[in-house]
Amino acid sequence: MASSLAKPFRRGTSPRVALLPAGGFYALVFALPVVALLVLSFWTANGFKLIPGFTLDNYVKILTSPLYRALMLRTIGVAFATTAIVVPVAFALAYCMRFVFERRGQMILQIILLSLFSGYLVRIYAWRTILGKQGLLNSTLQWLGLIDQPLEFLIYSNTAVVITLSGLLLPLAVLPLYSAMLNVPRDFLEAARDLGAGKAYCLRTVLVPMVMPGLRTAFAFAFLLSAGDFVTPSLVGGTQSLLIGNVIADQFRGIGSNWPLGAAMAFVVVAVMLCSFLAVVALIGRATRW
Amino acid sequence: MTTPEVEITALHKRFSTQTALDRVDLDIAAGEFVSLLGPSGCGKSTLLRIIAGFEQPTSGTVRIHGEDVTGRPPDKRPTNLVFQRGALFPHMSVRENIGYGLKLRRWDQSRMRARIDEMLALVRLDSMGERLPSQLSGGQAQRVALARALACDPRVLLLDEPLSALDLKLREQMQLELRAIQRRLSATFIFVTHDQTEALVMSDRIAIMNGGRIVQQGTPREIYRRPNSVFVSDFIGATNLLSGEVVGMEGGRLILAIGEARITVPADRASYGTGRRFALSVRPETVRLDRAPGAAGLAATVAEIVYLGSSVRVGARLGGGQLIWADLRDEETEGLDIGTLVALSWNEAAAALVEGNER
Amino acid sequence: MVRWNRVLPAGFVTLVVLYLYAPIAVIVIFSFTTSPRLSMPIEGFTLDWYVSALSNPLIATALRNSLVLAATSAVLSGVMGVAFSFGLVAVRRAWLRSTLLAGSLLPAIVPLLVIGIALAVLFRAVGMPQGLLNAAIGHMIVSLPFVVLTMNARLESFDFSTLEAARDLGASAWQAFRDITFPLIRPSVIGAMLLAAALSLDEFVVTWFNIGNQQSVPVLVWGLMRRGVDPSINAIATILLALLVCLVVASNRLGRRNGAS
Repeated sequence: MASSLAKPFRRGTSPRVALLPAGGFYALVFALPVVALLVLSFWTANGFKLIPGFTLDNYVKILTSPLYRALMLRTIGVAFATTAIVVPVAFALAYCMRFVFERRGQMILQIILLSLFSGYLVRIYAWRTILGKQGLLNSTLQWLGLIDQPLEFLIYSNTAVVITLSGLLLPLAVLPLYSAMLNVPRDFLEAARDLGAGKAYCLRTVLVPMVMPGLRTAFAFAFLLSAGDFVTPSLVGGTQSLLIGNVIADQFRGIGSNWPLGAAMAFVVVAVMLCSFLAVVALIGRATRW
Repeated sequence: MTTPEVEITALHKRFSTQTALDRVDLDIAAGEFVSLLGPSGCGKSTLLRIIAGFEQPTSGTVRIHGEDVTGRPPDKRPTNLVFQRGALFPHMSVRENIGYGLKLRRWDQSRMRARIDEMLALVRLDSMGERLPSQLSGGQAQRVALARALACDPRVLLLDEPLSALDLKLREQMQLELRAIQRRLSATFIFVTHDQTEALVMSDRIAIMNGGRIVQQGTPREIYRRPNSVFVSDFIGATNLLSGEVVGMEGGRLILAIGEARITVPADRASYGTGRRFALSVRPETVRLDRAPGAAGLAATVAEIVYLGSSVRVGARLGGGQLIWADLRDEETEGLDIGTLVALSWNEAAAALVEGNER
Repeated sequence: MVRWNRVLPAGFVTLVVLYLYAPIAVIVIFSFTTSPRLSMPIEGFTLDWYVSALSNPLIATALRNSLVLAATSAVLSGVMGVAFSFGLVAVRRAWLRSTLLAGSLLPAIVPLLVIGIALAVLFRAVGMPQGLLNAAIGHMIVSLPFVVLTMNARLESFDFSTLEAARDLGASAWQAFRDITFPLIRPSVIGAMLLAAALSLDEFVVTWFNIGNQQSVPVLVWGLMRRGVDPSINAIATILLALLVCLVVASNRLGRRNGAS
């Protein structure tokens, strides 16, 4: 393919120079900042003043402090809970779109993706107004006479965080799963059924392995992005459900900010999340080995 | 007669707006190789998918080995299907593909290994067991698909145009191979195809489908020689269709008007009354061409000469304008030229009178 | 006969769509109701919240800044992304091409929080005070992967033999691009730019760490939200929503007409 593409340009400047502006931009505005962040994580701060150097103090502090450990565990827990809702629902949804509704699946995908662009902050805020103590759900239930006292666990809790994050991340998880399933002709499922596989066995031994790359991407979206979100816990989570993201954000825009500590936290979170993610992917791979 | 292996009775299938199958009846004996042949959209694939259990009929029954299997899911039927494009699981090796059904039937390891070896030998791919489907050629992939479907020893093997994606040479070779395997196993095969040559080469019996019905069934020879409609004679092999009208009877023979010419044919069907329109199907290889002045036959003028190597196809135009093709041996055409006047005749037994005027 | 094998999936899909859209519907509906609290039953309808939202002195500035950010991001990340995609299809080694593509999509899966703070660190290191320019640069890096993704999909299905035909008929490389390539990909380019604009309009996290004391609509909304329940938030959110929907629908239309799927 590529050779015939390049042919009309071949004389004169190579069209590959077109890679340069964006390539340079990526290097300066994405790669360089990440390196800067890494360097900073070995520095220390005194008030707002940054003190260059090389110390592992920040990392030691994060890994030994019971507070940070608890935050990290809670973050992982929330990320897992969200993923455990988002990925199966997205899988079932993609399955229905691809194999039940077939051609109308594209339309359903458009509808689902459109919700991504309906305002990130707005949707989180909307869940607060729905789940709140005097919010839509409680007031409706009370109005209907189903409950006397508002249900308090709905808001400012881990539950609220998981419900809200799931709504935010579901569309992102559907996309890779649906495109992966589009590449699986129905023949393969029928062949398995024809050879005697029941529906569940067919899913486990044929469909899941065949859409594994899509499943991995969906998993990455749900897990990594829910771990990095700090807006959701600060709007719908209570003081007991702050996540590590909130603490990192506070290190950069809070009163007692400490940039180097925040930078170190960011790297710890990314590392921990990446490891948990890889472990789970390996487990799924093992479980679906036929 | 013993119970047929497959018994299809009054099968009807409607999709939301259209009828895919219209009262189809078909019996298939054990060990028989039956082809379902027809143009795309004729319902042949739907019929196969109903037998396999992927579609449910609107009404009617499917019995296999005397047992009613209508409504049973595909995994609970004694049938296996070879898919058009193989549908080999891309994440499993050839051996794993072939063993998939056996594993589901809880065969033990050693028995399974032996069966897979046997299947690989059957399709002559002994050394390919560890390959992945992506490393196989088209012909090899289809052989693995065949081995996978046969491994579970189905009562009936269903084949959904499994050779259509292969090129001509390979396809011809695979046709013979498939036929040989079927004979060796004396298995029951139902083979769907739109390629009439393929059906003729391989089948014990052909069922020709059109518009959701089986329009004719019989051995390849019966179908080729005695098509019962314009549709069948046109679909199977090359043929000349002379459409005309009955203008009278004479000594037990019908007199037909074809354009300006008159010919007589045996009136083997009483229903052809005067004024009825019909067609006479004459195979090009039965047409004779006589250059002697005053020879008996229909007068025509040579209009086309097509050299095919093993034979020469000559087109001669009748007075009424209709073109009739004749397949001749090379030496028979010596001195023949565009514009030569000829007389056309054919073996009466080889011509078939067929109903229907649609082409 | 009830066809359960379709009814159940249809019900499931409907439930999920409701789950995704219920919050949005709530915001839109309650931006028009009289009660300042979001609770049932609804008492009456009013446009008061729009009046109070639009009389907020910060909203005009925030809206203007947001539009500037969106336009900048659309044009600059659009141009860079389109150029990058063209460069990408000309890379002949398949592994290099797919590595470059994967690398260019990386910012889309790194949590925005990390991008936001990393940029803040860089800007501080080079001594650039926080402000609108910093936010604009942040928006560009957030949008760029999506522009590349859209354009790459289009160019992979592009029939480059039409270009060869044009060259064969005597067009120069530039003429062929002007007469053949660009008219064919124009809808995708505009679609990708509108997508970039929509992403920028909705961007909060990266903005918040880099915009300093300036305003954008999401930053303003965030401030109001933190302060508590204020029904004018619903009104601002509905306005933002209307803008986003217009951009995304337009972007989608253009992408589809192009057969880029």
